[in-house]
Amino acid sequence: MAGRKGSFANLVREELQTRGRASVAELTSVMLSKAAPEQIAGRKVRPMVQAVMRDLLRSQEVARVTDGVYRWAARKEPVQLRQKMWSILRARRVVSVEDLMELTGASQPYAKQWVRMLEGHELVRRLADGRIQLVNDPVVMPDDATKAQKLKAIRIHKALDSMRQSMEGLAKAVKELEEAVP
Amino acid sequence: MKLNPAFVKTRNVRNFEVLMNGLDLAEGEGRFGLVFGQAGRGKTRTAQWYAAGNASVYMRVLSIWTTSELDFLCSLARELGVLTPPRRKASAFQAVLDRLISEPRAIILDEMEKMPPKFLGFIRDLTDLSGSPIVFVGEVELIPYLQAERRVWSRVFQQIEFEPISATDIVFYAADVAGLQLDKNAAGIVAKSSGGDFRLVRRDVLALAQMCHGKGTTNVTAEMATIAAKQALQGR
Repeated sequence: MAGRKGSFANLVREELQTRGRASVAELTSVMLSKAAPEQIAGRKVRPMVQAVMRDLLRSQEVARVTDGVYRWAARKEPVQLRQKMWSILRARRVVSVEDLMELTGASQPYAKQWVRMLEGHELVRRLADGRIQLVNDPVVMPDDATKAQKLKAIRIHKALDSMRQSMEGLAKAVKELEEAVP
Repeated sequence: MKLNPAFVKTRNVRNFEVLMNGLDLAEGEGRFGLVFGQAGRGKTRTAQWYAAGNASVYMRVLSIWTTSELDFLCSLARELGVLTPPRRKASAFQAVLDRLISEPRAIILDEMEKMPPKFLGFIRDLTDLSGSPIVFVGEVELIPYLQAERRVWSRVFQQIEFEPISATDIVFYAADVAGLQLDKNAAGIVAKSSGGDFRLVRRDVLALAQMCHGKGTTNVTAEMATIAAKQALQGR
């Protein structure tokens, strides 16, 4: 359910998202002070909140806890492969590339590249038997700098290409003008 | 020779998924799941695989926590993404609760029987107040451990036992990781020799893969399975 910014439905959604869970009564009292006067002028707020909750339930953004109480339950995003590998590494502390491949479905080159990235951040060390040990746990997975650099290079190339095209167009236009002048 | 790293969805794994889906149905309510079974049946591996793929929290209970609820709460808070958990019990509890409310997730606690029973009280509070399911994983003694706490036991919505790996699972496993074709008898022999222990099945399948490689075949006969089982028992 895509809500318009500042709309009554969006205000209710934001409030529930912030609170995690709330009853219709609580949301109604909040909306009485939060909603713009023109949004609720001459209308009963409680049925308005209930209508919004019905829509949010239908779009699976909220779940009913008990009668009249709801909780935020936005649909789960699929977990990224490297995030899966990070979870496995943190859970097991010592893993092999084969473990990562088996438990996450990653390919061998990708798993190896990811391990190299972690080695670059000095978060893991390689054991004598080839397995990898997590030696420093920052909780949150570090950014892949090599990937970021690759993306940056792609962006620069694109920008250069478009500048080159513009300059070629400009040169062509100048030439045409020069030819037009007797 | 190495086995192809593939996660095979055995019957136990499928049951685990059903348990987690069942817990999802009672969303918003305090509830526990229970997964138990003998060692070597793949409980931990399954729990880690599920947690990684479903943004759940996997945590192994450590014996070192037996005297400190705070250490447990701080570890849980870190697993939930609190980078510097508060060093006071009530604040750490609140930090965990806040995280679970804003971002509901299933928590899987492995080797749960190691946790002191006095911790169960605030674990119950956590699931009740956050509405996030908590799944206990452990060995068979986990059942009397939880039954002793009536209020905890009554919240166990779903439970499954990890059973010995079956002959059918072995057929699929051998095909997936080594490309071997086991007939029913051969799979039965491996199931019997391994006693349903996943690690031993792995060992036997590796032995069979080596044997088949030497013979230039992918079909495993009952005779070959018997030899592999005997070799394994002799430690070869």
